[in-house]
Amino acid sequence: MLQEVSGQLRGVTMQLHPPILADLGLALALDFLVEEAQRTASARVRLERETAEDGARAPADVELAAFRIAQEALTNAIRHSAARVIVVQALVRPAEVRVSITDDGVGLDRVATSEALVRGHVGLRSMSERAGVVGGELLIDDARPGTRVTFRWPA
Amino acid sequence: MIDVLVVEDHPIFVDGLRSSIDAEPDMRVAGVAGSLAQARDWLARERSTVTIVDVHLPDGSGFDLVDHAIATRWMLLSSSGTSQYVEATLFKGAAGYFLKTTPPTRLVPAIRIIAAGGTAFDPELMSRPSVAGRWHPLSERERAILEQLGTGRSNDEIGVALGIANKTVETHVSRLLARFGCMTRTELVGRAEREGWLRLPGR
Repeated sequence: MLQEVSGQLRGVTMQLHPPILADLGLALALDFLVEEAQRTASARVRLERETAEDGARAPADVELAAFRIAQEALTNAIRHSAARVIVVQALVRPAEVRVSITDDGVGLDRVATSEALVRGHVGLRSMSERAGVVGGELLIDDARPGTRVTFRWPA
Repeated sequence: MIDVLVVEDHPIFVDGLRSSIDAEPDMRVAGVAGSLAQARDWLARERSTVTIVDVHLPDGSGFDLVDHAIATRWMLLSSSGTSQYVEATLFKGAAGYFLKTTPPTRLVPAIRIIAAGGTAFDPELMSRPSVAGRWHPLSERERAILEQLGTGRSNDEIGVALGIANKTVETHVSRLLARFGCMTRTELVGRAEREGWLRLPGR
């Protein structure tokens, strides 16, 4: 089951520029990501989103960074956290983007000591770098229980 | 005469569409644009009754072309059958969404409906539950129950207010939760309100 989920999310990851992101923007691309996860993950996954009234989009590089980070964080939460509930929250406006992924799982300490991080699969560093490149930042919080990963732009 | 602007960068697809449209006595392809930029140029100079837009264009998303300041009716096409494309179409206030695999025999009547001020969506797509869930409007009963939920009433109270059995209220509430993808009644009311299904008192 887990294998299958990560395989599918990986499948989306392989595409350099997911067409749905280019076509519809970040909010609906995240909706798609969450819908895919709902179909396959054993945790309950839901999305709360807030967009500009007219659906105006954020810069393309920021949207891509936010989408990739959300994808990676969601994959991590599904594979490593043993969460029952995962909530993706997204605020998308032309000059402000915030995306957070909160799970009620085992928490990052436990995940961090697992082999996954040793092998570099959790990829927090690459997520953080990705955020920095577009002028944003990555915040990791202890959500007690669980973990919250937030991308914020501008930093 | 229904004048159609086709915004599409694949010549073969344009040819197919053109021959179907031009074969009809009441419609014709008035223009073809291969990009957003070309389409904007064309629309600044000329008029179309219906503008058919491929979502995937070389210089951006076809959804970005949809502009209500322009006097035309918008119909989007793409190869993607995911429900978010239908949602984007509804959000943008465009009149139709079809898969590019739809045979032209189905597109032609849809163009006519859209030209007359109606809306038309790919029937193949609408039969998929993930899409249908977004599209189907709520029934009168569901709406009434949502409104009652918005006032914080219990199932029993709602049953009494609407004159239906407690069990029926329960069934409706669980269907509404599933439809909106929510886990709690509070969340359901919040989401329904955000999507414009109900107005809470005092707003």
